[in-house]
Amino acid sequence: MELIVELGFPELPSGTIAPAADELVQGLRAAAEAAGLLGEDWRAAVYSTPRRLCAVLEGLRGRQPDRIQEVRGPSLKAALDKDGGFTQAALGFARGQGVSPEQLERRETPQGAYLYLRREVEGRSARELMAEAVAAVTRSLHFPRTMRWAKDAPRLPRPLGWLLALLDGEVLPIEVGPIAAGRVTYAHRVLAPGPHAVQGAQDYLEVLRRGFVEPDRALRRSQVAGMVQAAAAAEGLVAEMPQDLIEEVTDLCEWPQAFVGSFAAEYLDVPDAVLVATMVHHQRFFPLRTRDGRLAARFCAVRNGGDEAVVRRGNETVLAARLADALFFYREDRKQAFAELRPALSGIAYAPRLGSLYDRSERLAKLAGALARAAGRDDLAPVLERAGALALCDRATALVRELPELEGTMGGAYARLGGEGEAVAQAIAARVRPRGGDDELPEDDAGRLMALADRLDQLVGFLAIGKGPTGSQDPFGLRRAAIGAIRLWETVPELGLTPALAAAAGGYRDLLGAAAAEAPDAVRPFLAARLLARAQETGHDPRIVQAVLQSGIEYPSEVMRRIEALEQAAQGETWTLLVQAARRAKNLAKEGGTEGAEGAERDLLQEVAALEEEGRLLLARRDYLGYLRRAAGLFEPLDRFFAAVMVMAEEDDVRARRQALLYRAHRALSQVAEIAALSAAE
Amino acid sequence: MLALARFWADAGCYIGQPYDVEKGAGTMNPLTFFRSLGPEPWRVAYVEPSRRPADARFGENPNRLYKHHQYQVLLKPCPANVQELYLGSLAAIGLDAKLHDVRFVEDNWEAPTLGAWGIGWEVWVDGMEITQFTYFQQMGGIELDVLPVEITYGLERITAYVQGVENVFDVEVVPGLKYGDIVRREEYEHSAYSFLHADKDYLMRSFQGAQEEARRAAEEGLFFASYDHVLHCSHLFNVLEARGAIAPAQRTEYIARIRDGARRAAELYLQDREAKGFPLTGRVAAWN
Repeated sequence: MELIVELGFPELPSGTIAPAADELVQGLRAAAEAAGLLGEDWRAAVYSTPRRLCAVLEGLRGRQPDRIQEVRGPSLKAALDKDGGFTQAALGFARGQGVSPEQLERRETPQGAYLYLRREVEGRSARELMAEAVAAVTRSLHFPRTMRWAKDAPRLPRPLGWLLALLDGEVLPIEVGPIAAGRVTYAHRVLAPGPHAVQGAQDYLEVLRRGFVEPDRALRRSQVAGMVQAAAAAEGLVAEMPQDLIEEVTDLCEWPQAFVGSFAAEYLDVPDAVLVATMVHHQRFFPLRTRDGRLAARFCAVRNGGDEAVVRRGNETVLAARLADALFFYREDRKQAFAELRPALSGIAYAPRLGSLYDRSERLAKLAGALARAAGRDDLAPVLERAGALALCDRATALVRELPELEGTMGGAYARLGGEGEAVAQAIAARVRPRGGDDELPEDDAGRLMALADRLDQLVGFLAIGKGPTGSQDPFGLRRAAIGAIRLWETVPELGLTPALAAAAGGYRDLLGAAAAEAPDAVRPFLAARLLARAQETGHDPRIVQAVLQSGIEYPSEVMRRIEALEQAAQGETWTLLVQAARRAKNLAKEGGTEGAEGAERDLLQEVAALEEEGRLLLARRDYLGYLRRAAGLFEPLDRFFAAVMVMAEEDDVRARRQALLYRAHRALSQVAEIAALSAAE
Repeated sequence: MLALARFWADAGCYIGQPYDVEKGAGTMNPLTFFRSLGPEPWRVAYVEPSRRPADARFGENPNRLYKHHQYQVLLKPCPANVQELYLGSLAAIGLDAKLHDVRFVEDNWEAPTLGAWGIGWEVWVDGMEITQFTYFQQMGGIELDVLPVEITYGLERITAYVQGVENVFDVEVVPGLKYGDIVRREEYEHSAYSFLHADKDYLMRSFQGAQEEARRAAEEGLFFASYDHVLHCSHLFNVLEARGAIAPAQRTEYIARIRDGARRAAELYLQDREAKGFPLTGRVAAWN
């Protein structure tokens, strides 16, 4: 049999459509499978547009196979009284199952004798089962934001408009809130509104295509991409086609038709980033470029009906108005030299208690310079100090007020126009990157240090005033900032956490006093938590990751390499013994002097000293696996030590000396990771 | 405007009038705010002048105004063919959906000062946003069981678009008379006042006074009177904010103070309607 289900809506939010359609078809398939209705040659198909989610299942059985159901009742002891009559327990069981007690069988089992109900259950029809499944799956679809739209109806992203549900051409008996299933669909809202009757999956596609709707999303997507490319090529131009934009446009039309429009050439004076942001983000247009990569005074857009000439004229008017605004703002902004905008920053608050943007620009200048020096790049400090001082000036420009997504980008462009050096301009533009989880990092060290300074200043400031994220709420974007910082840090391995955080906290000393000094203690665990999440996302064993994090994150860029080294080293029986010895050492360790050791103590001391010595070299070479393998050699002397001496000796000085020795041994063992934490006992 | 009024009157709407207390959006008119609440059906359409101090641009920006006009429609419960009805209203003002590309693009709406939010779209005609279309979910902090839908047309923009001019001040209102001739000086003055000259202390005192009076009126059970003062508070807050007198940290607190007033008025309104047995239920044939 063939099932077709279409949920019709007024326009759904674009990002939610394809996942919901997949969920619909998967849910129905799973329900059919669980009910034993999937035939051997079943097939599924999924369709979606802004106004519909549709699933088709072919190859369904008409009815579940009949089966034998067996239910165990009470034990015979409990079921029969001394006269052999049925007890209340037996009568109750029979009543519950809807049979008379005489119909129950007696059966021996390994647990004793029981009453059993054995009956043939007739398989239910696909019609009944799939009607239930459609109602249940509709209720269980996930959407990021839903609404109440009718009494006793499931929450959905928009009110359900219609429900097409046919099993081999027969309407299924389903009601979702006030909507009863039927055999009609609706096509393009304006070009062929409907209702249109549907017989089954085959003519469903024909009806919709005749009605100016392309229901196959993958096909519609390739139509969008192909039409835009072709329209651009016809003008001798190349379309800039961001992936996100293609997806969004695909989910904004049912019947895509591309067209090319133009704008006045004078607007090309505005920096490219502004033109692209206006076209892509605000109008969902594809920018067009000449073959040598320059922006043309043209755009490509996709319409969903209407008369091409009318729609083009309208879109051109709207774009012209936006670009006129942008050009006006751009000219206004350029009336002052870029650096002269800086005083205006003192009138813009960064955040309550964290001063103005001017204060922040002073912090960024100092911090970026300090990071450069701490990372051994003194040569970059002057550029970064200048860039930090000017990095926020674009917040005082009209263009960035209008188009906030251009923060940073415009700063770089205006700095260049304002006669700042190229290096300074690039560092200013780099400050805001990466914008999101998979956005690219800045290209050069100066840019990455600038961006890192930005995130450290943010983290230290907000965590110092206790504004960290709670649950899913992260109003100041600190998790994203921390992930950005970690990614940036991977490119500056020489930079230690302690000097970096001290420099960042120093910037807040005047504003926050003691809270600033304590902030690094809050930032460390926050970064560690993000490191843990990041390592787990990439499939690393959380115990291994925890062990590495416990031995410190002074060089965040090294954490991942230490994890990988530990994964390689932590194998085999010797390793298990070493972990146990490390744990024993840790439990007994106490800092102190180790003078006066003799015998097994002295042997261990020599081995520890040798490990410390050689280990320094291995760590300097970042040979973490080498270190761990070398450290494993400490097992035997440790083992001999534990066998030969009693650590908790009566005499205070002996006990203290032995504990101090274990302290050094444990410290030497846990340079790469707190291996004691890998013990099964913990 | 006349064409919209005619269209929505034919759809059974009461053609209301602007409410004579300053406000930031047509939703704040009691014809929408109160009547969205409870199970009674309701259909209304009216023009609402909306003051938004933060959008003031001294009469120099072609699209931004201190005071713009909304054409506001509220249909409750939401009719199943509401989008088709809406397209019909566009045709009535000369925007035939067969010629134009009309899109419904996700845009959810929230008015924290009213304790209100909804789900919906901004409507684009050939790439221009001309309408906000919202299914209300909450009003005055109260969840809505009967679904109202609000359609808000941006009148200046639509008129400019229909007349084919890029600047709202260039709209010809009577042959020979432009919109700018009428409102430019007013726009300039309100911009100057809101951004530069408004007396912060006076506005703060007024806010407190209005908040107090709203509470007093509510204690007497006078929710319409109380709500007027809530509207005053809301407008004063907007001016204070444009004037830069409210630190970001205080913002939430001010909003909460206004919302509390709105919630109190909404609860009193509902109690009153309930005591009267929700008298409009089933009474107007055109609303069924």
